[in-house]
Amino acid sequence: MEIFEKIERTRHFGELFLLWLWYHSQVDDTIFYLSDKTTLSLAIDSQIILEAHLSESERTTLSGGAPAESREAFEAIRQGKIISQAKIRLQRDEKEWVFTLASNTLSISGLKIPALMTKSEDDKLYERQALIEEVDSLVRGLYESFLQTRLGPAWEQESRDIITWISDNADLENRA
Amino acid sequence: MGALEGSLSFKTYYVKGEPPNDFQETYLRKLQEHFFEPLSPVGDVERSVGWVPAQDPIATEFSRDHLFFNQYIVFAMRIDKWALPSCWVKALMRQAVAAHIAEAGLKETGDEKRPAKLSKSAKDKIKLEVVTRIKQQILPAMKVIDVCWNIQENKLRFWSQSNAVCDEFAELFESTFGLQLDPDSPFLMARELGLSESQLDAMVNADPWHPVFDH
Repeated sequence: MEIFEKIERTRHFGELFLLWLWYHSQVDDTIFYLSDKTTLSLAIDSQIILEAHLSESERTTLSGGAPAESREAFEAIRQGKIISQAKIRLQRDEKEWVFTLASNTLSISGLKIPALMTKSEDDKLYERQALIEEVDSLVRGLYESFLQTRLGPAWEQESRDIITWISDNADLENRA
Repeated sequence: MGALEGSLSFKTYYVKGEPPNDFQETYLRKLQEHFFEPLSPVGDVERSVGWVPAQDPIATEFSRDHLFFNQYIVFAMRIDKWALPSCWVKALMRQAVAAHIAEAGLKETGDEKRPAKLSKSAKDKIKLEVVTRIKQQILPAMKVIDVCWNIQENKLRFWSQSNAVCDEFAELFESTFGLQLDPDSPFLMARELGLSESQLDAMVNADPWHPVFDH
């Protein structure tokens, strides 16, 4: 199989990754542990975009407040929509990044990085790149944790838990 | 914009191939060979694309100090195009056509005398003159998109997510350096993370997971 075919066949892993991040950010109270012992905090921020599978025109954009806690978001998932983009707030130690992660490419846009501490132009470049590479590496660490779960024996139980979590949150009566 | 200041929306690419030992010399020369060429008001070239220093996009050459920063090579893709003000083109065309007709005088057609008509080629010629006149008074629209290439990790960031611009960038990069670029994706990220062949195969063979609910 050609590489481009493998790339296209596996784009759905990005969609599930965003759902997995959403799930763990809620059930684990935003705390994630990476395989290299890094601890970080991650929450879905002020926007989440859901699309019908293979139909970008059927799009639900939830923004403002806490869209990841809204019944509409869970209902959209229950109706078969996938997450195409989510705005994410990620913290590690004293540093915080806010950015939008796209599911099909796992690319970062609208990234806000922590304030720069350096003054000279060259130092600013290094610090800016270091902060970009740090968030990039944290996202990769999270993706690695997700893949180990998705491709391993833990997925069977995890997938059942995700379904229960969606059902519970989509059902208003149960929530009340 | 992006590598040094401003918006932080980018696409990550993996660079296929190893840099040569003298990469600073070689890449400086290759970037200079594909340096941005400014548009001229004369002629019919409407768009120009090439490399420029990220810190000074109107400079006329690269300097080593502004290109190499330890493991990073930082430069930018500049795209210029003429964006003519259509109202001015129309108004000046109308005036120029009227002036040409007045100059040609009245033409006898049968019993009547009517204003001479301009041929298509004459109109095209007038338009070219008008457009050239306008171009001589304006600057082209300029877009500058930063590139930050981490030579140690064979990875680069390009500060745009527009598919058309990214495709043009990849093509220009490949023709400049002879190196192929692969845009990041869930599969390539997994491969770069060091997943085993069997795990990568499992990814390729996995069907999309959709939650199934009991109703």
